[in-house]
Amino acid sequence: MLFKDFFKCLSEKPFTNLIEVDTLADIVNLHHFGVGTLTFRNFPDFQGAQPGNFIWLESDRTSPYEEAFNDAVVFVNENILDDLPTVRIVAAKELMHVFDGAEQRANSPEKFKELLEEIASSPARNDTSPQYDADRVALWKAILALIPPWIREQFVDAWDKGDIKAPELARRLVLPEEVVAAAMGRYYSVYLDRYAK
Amino acid sequence: MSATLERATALLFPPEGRQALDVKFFFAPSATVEALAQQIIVCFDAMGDNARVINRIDRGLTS
Repeated sequence: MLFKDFFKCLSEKPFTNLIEVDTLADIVNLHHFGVGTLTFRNFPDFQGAQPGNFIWLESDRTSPYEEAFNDAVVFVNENILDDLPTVRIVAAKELMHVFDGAEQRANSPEKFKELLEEIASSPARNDTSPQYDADRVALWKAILALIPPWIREQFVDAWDKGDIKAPELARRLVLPEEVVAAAMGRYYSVYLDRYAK
Repeated sequence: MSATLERATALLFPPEGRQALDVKFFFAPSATVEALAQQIIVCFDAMGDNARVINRIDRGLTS
């Protein structure tokens, strides 16, 4: 399943005033070939831990009696669990990695180590690997999924007139302010065209 | 390579058994290689703990 197919499934759901991450997960569970079991888990916080991560494991072939499924696990740091807007964007962004292209996946020891080195050293744009670049792409896919055009358009006029600002919109969409500000910005339509159509 | 990174890599890509198809992080600029590798180890531990499953991320926002 490609992201644009996922987005079409989302657009065909009954209208709601906001999109739940659980709805996105349900679509992946039902329609994404290759993801057998998708789960969300929290992990214990420690000094230096990040808000979340994603691990996708190949199928477990140890049982001859059960159908083999790949396991995708989205992890959320336990120290953000009380912050629902942050939990939602972290979980949605990590979930969107099920749509990473083959070249974007950190699927070997070498690519995994390269990814860690890049995250820790923030290389300039032209020096990054596909697996590192996939992070920004996944974040935009999460923004498009959580604030699709049919929800965004309700706020465009008020946003342009300054009648609604990021704190109020963030409260209504249960997302961090920087996420709703990005969704109302100039790049939204660029990434909508690029990834969802 | 640090022992932590070595262990994280071995968990994701064991000589035999399930290989990782993808690994990603939601990270801040302060992230370090050592802490990211440690996070993988901690997450593998969490995979065996059913108390850490989150059944509904949104806690029924629209219901």
